[in-house]
Amino acid sequence: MTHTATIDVNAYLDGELGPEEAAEIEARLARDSEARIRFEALARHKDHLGEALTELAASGPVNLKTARLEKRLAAALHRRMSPRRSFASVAWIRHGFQIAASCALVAFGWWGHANWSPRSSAVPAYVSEAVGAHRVFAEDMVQPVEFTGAALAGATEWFSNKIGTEVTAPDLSDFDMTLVGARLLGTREGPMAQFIYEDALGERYSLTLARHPDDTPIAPLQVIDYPEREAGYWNTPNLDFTFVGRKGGTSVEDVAATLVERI
Amino acid sequence: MDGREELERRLTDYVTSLRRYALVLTRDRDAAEDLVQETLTKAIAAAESWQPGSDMRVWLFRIMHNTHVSDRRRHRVREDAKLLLPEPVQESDPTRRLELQQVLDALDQLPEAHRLPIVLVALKEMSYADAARTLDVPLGTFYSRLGRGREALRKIMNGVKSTKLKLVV
Repeated sequence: MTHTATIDVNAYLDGELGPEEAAEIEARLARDSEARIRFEALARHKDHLGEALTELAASGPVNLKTARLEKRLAAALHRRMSPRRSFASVAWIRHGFQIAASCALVAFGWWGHANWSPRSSAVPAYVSEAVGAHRVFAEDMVQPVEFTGAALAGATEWFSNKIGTEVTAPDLSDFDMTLVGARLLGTREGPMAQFIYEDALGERYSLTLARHPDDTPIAPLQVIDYPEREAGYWNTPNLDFTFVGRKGGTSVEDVAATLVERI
Repeated sequence: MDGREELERRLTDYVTSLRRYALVLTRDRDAAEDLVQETLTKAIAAAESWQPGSDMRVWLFRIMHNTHVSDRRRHRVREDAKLLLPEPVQESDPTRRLELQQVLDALDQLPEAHRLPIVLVALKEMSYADAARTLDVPLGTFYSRLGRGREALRKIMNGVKSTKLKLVV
């Protein structure tokens, strides 16, 4: 077996492959008995090692100093996760108008008026990742997306497995938008599913979904201006959403508000 | 369960995983506990730099790994010691225990660069991307080291198996 093939088999064993690549490996293992024996050994050793590592630290008295440090760290991180004071009263005073230069909240109409809550000064990292991916992938009209057409159904199942919670591509035909493709993004914030839509004028929009961290509060829809683009972002208990589109096309805020109501 | 309790529960799970990783790094229970405590102390000091929403577990593993690498001289790494399964609290299958100890012995024979990727994945908590970030190596390097390490582990275990067969015959 070549070195590359060994890497592929490892990635298959650890659930790191997409459905098509996984099917290729399964086909290879089905026709190559030697490769199958090697794979079974790898899987057995991985299981044994996981079990042995679990047993290594399964016993022994609680170390009081470690327990105290653990409590202190929990307290420090909990303070860090607690919602900061309001954007208007603190962040503006502290940072002046520098923040406005980098990102400006725009008014978001009746929905925003009813649901607005103070936000921390920083745009969540998942939004920055989603906007970056939109610029790289969604607006690229030449390079094919990772999954198209019939492959999309299988892709969402794979995305769900990778992200750890169910993700689906919502129907945006009310806005004359067609789902044209999807891809899984590997980001510093973890895996994200990007669904790419196209409207009747050929403008591209993207909806990016990431698993919502358990330790982060839920935030309502907010809309943010970027140069030439705008992004609406919000959370549910399971997922972080970012809908991105070019300014001047279908209103990102309208689509995002509709999605908030539906999901 | 409120947010603080949930955080404490998750942190306890992470510290258990950190302790396992520290045991692999140091091969010594006392040194491993020292490394866990130093990791937690550094994390407390750096708590303000942790980004809510980012992966806390990867952040802690990175601190531990960097502490181990940068402070290797001070932390006792028992090159002569080996990873030993603790005595079972309750009755367990001796054949199974032997198999688990054999795989730990085989792991011990690998160079650290190959050993650590295998361990991080075997802890069943990290994706390849997370583990590569923990070790601060490019993903391609991680793939390669994991593949070579597991292949070497398989060969060592095959040797163990054939030795046993010869002894039986």
